[in-house]
Amino acid sequence: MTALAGVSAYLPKHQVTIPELADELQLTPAHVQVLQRKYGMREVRRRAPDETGTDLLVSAVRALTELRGREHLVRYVIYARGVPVAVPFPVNPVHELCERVGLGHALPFTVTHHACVTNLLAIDLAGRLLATDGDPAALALIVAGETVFTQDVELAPEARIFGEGAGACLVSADGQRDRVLGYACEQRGDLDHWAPGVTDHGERFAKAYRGTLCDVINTAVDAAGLRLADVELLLPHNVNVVSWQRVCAQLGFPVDRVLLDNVARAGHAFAADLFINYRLAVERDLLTEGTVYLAAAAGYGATFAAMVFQH
Amino acid sequence: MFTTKPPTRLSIVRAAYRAFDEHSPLATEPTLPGYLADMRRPFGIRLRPAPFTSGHSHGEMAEPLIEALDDGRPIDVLVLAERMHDVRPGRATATYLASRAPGAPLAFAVCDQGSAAPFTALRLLDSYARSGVCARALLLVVEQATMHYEPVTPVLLPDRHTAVALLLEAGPTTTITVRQRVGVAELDAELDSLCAGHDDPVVLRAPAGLPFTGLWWELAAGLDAWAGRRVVLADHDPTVGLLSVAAIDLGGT
Repeated sequence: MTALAGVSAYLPKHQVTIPELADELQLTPAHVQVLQRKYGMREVRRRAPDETGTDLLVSAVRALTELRGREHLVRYVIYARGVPVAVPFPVNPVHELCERVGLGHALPFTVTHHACVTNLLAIDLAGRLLATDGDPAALALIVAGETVFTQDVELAPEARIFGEGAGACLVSADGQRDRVLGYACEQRGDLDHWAPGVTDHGERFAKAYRGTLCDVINTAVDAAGLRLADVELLLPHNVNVVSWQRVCAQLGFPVDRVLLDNVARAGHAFAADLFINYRLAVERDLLTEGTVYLAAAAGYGATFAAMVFQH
Repeated sequence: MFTTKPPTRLSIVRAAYRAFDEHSPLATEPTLPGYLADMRRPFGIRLRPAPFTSGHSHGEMAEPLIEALDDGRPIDVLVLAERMHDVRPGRATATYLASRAPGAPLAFAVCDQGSAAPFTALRLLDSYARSGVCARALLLVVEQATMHYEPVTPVLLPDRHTAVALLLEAGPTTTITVRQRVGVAELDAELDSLCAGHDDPVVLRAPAGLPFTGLWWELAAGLDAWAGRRVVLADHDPTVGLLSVAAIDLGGT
């Protein structure tokens, strides 16, 4: 059974408040108020001027204490990237990362096109890849984290603000720590935000969002052989507070079991949210032996996914 | 969503491939120059002068190939292997293509590996099959030929837009072996190992002009002619330091 052997996160120190982003994002004062009061946003993190996107990933990997002394066991380094294209060809952050953190022997590649829930895809496929190889000691390193390098005009900042940060995790094909109990993924290419000539993608995505996210959460819990009531903690994507309140209302799941604090203090750090929120859960002693927790997220394109773990 | 199936191994059973002489209308989208300008800025590279009129979209290139291979039976997993990006950089193309394939497969892209990406995609598909969630799969190897900026280091560009689709199905025997090595280039030894014991194996290398799709184009074009033979694909991409080889035993005799 696929398991996580360690999780780390990195948030840059530089904090930018939502009003400070108003000019960059072309937000009106009224919109700023909505983002703050209704959606629960306060600030996001941004890189230092001399910090690159790869620097974010390197910092997350260096914070992964479970990696130390086990570098030789890492067979794969997988970059779970939400934005399909983020650097000019042939710039290659995952290869640069491997060289900088002493993993030049591992096979590096990127998986993408699952938006900000590519992290769960990467965990699932890493476990399968390691199981196929058959070496019980082998590990895969997954990294996530991206820069806010452009404002894609297809994606108005109506209900989420991107922050910068990174996360990393070690995956093993089997293990006792943070075992993966179930995974569900639903892709809705019909909601493609970049489909030529389509203008109502945002409305259709918003309409499908809650129901589809609830479906994958319930399906992942079923796949784990559990009931939703067994889930003690939900690690969300840090899009906004309101959407999670609505999802919880539809699910009949207590919203106080959703770790939402990073919405206000970190913003939505692409596919790194899961790892950033995991570390916050550890800091708060929310994960004890046997805790069943669930990660869920969705992203434009569109992909919805959920994964159930047991700590 | 996923449904569990018996663990199995996959064989390549059909293929489609196509070159695109025309450019995509999406290459002229007014949002593209701004996106690329933002993307290249931290790297100090120069954007070629607008307006952009050339280039293609990997989604539009792959879609007719999916249709050509569509026999109405569902696909479980679709992997899009990419080297250089297309003219629709924000788009989750694999997710879009999943909506165009029978069975609404799990779909994702593999990239940042140079010409090794299709080999990795084959390994991933094998893992899905062996873990019991994939009995039919599509591997898409797609590359459009236009780069709108000066690369930071020299790269081989294709001379035309091409796409290859390989349909894989559960088979009774193991028919695909993939090996990848990091940082070494012992290609001859790998080829000798994979050809040993096979009468008249076909050894393929990427043809000039198609550094990414070329190997798979050749495989797709020869799929019927080489029935019953072993085909060995070999690639070394120095830009990423990866050696990849695959041995594919084609059925049909």
